[in-house]
Amino acid sequence: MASVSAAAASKNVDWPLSNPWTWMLTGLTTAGLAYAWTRLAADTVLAGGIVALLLLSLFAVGIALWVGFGSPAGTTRALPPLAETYLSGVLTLGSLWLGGISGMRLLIELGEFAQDFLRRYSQRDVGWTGPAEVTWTAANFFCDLVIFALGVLGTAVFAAATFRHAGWTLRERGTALLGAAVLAILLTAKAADEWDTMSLFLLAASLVALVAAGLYWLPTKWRRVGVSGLVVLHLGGICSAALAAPPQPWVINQLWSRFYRPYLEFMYLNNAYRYYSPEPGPPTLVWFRVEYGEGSMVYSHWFYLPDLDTENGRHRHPLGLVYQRRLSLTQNTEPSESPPKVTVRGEDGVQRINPVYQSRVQSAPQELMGPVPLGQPRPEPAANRLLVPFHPELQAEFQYQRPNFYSKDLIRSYAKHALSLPHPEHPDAVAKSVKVYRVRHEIMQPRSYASGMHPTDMSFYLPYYMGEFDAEGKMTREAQNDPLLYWLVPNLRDDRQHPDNVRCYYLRHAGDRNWVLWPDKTWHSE
Amino acid sequence: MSRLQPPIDANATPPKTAWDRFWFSPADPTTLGLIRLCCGIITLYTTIAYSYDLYELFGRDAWLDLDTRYQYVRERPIDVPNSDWQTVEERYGRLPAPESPEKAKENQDYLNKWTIDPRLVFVKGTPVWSVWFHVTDPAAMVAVQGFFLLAAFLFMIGCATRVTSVLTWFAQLCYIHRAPTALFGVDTMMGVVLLYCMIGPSGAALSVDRLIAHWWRGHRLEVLARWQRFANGVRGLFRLPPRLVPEVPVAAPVPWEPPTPSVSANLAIRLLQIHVCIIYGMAGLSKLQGVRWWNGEAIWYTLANYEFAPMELLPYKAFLRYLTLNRPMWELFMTLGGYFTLFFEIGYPFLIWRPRVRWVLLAMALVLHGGIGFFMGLQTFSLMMLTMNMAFLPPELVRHWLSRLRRRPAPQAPKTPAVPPVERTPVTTGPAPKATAIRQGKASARKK
Repeated sequence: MASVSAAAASKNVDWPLSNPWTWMLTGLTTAGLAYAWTRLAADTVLAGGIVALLLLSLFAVGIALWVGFGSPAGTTRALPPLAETYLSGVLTLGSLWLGGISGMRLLIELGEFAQDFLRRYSQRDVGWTGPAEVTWTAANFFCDLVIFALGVLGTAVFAAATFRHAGWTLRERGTALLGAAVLAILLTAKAADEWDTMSLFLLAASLVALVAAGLYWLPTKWRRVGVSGLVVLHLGGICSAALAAPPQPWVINQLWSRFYRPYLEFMYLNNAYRYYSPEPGPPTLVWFRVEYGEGSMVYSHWFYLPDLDTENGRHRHPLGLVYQRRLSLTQNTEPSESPPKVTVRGEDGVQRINPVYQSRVQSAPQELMGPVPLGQPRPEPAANRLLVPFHPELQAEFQYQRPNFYSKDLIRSYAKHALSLPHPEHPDAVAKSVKVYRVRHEIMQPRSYASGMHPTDMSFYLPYYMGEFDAEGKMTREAQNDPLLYWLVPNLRDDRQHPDNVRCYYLRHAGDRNWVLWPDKTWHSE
Repeated sequence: MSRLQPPIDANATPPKTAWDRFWFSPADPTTLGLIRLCCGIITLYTTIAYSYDLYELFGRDAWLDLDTRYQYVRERPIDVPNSDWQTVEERYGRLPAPESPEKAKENQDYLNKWTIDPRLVFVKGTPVWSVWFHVTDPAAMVAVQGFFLLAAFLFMIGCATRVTSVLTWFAQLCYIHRAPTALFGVDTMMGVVLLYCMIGPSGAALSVDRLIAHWWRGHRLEVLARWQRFANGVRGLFRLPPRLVPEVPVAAPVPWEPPTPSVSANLAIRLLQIHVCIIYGMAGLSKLQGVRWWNGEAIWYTLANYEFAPMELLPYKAFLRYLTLNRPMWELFMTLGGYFTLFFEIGYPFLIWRPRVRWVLLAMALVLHGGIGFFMGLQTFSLMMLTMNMAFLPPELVRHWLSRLRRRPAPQAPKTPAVPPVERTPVTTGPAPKATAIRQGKASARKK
């Protein structure tokens, strides 16, 4: 008899940490405490104690789900009947709240849609009907629809369990565990709302748990249908990201913008996978010349991004991956606006040189004047200006690269960071300003390689002047008025007396004294 | 046990349709475990590399500073194409006058900054997230980075994989969303593989989890007995009656069992397979837009790219020199290289499903990514792509290879889900020769 009772006992005795409800209730309690703390505390800054509670709560919820669904016996653990009834009541109210909120939002969204539809397609001229009339996206609508459906389902399931007084069925136990996880994560999301992006992440995590709860409750056949729907949605998103990069059809663009974009950006799946297409191009580098002041002394130093030793081809970063990331930083500065036309038609119908080019032409020597419309007089070179010739082998349009708004921001941010780097030999010197050059490293033609030229020959580097920035990261007034702003400041073998010397005009423009590279690889002033 | 197969559905009807068989047949998770292991190594290396760059990439004054990044996250305009035939000028022409001069200035500032009027913007901002948006104190950043390193390491060895896979994915996306300008191909692919390792039971094979599960099967009762004795001691302090302690009988060593097939393992592998096909298909088709892929020059532009290729390496220099000095060889090599790439990438989504040519495709993937790793310096990216290709390796083959490494026969996959080990019947309360008995049992088994 004793052995029988011991056997029965051993079945009930188990490792206490393997009960998911221990963890889940810990998670719920700590999440509730964290939420109460943030709401009751006058100071809204996320204090260390709150962060610790939030982390503990998420950890406990994670372990509860892992223990609950990671072992065959996990979801079979029962709570005391009273606890199950009480928790069913809580989950009923939670589901009701979720369904109610999402239902209200759905009504508002449908109302907005109906209003916009009527205004857009009614016969009367209703004035402007811009896209901002509707303040929601199809993705919002879809999420609300899913939450509403699951809220209604949860309300029905747990209300029935509450009033049944017979405890949960096996299927309801797993659903309840996931439902409790939804509540706990929602509480942590609300408690962490000061960290808005983390709050967003947690809200999405609670949506995932909610969908999982719904799927778990369904019978196998319908669960498969649900999972199939999710698979189709997911793969549809991957395809829409791949097809929505230009040139893209209108339908895919609409699908991506209105429906898939939030999901794809959130999950970082928004990649078109168009590697080396339409074709591989040259890499972009960024060079900085930082000017430092220390007392009456002025120093300068060049920082190269990425830092590559052109003598042996090895980078000067601790790991190859660090070097690759630097290369990505510079590659992202590449996008530029379309170059303006060289000539513009005036009000009198006469073609004249575009003012953008006019200013540049005046900074070029006469014999390498660049683009001037036929029949127009050559503008005189401006006095007291640095004269920089046009690159003789590139069309004038390709020698002007005004970065787009995205690249401008990146360059400004990079310049600001470069200003925070200390001078290697004078660490106490204070950075005053930085001149930035975005450099296109041309890939040499096989013919040049066969003739013995080296890929690091300075003539293959095409530096475009991106401006000078002060210590606050703002472009200086001088740079804004510089006629060479966004222009190629080339490296040329244009010295007729010494045809092997390379004149690096960008160095001269930056303010370096030695700007001519001799064939013995030494730098000299002219 | 898979999430998709809760206990109540163990006797459910097997999949009938082709769709169900493709997606919902239980599959051996060994391949997924191998993918996790390889992806984990690369992820850990990447995370270690981030440690060098912590402040440079994720600090408040990083290369891409926090304010600039946050401005993009909150303000970036998302436009949608017109639903009518209005031109841009017409859209601007139909804008109503601003309500106030302040509003007009606000609109103009937005227009100057983002080159679009805010009233024409569909949505502002992007739903991205990162802990690095909020943790900017240097000491706290180091603490978070340490935590991420630990998670990546545990994920790699497959410890608490259901939790650490989520944490590793979370950590990688935190890096990605904070510093999107520092990313390249490996980050994209890592995000994809980690996602599917999170969906499937990637810790069910080749993992510490499996070792722990095996150990637990043999030592469960022993641990429970010890726990119960400890609990009884605590109860004794409060003068509560002791509870029964299960006795651990002498037992033979628990045999190794092959990983349990599961639907979620199949689902994760299938998703990865299709995702890889989409990646290659798009990469191949988009190349058809480029002139250099048609005239055969494209490969040269990857081989002679000084920032990527090992152009100072003597054998490589000699190779390029040989090619450039022999134009027919140069043309032949570049043309064949271009056609090889196009054939592989465009053909992959169609041919990889055919068992007869699958090995050809996988060998081609090895050549292509080996080349990219060597000639273009993108070793981590290449390794990650090869890891993704492993999704097409049959699990039996993976087990066979692994058994050859261990020099013992591969365990056969069970045709039905494994049955949980039967608990030995405990007897009465009181002390029992549990631990010694088990050790003796093991020793005797070893002697045999």
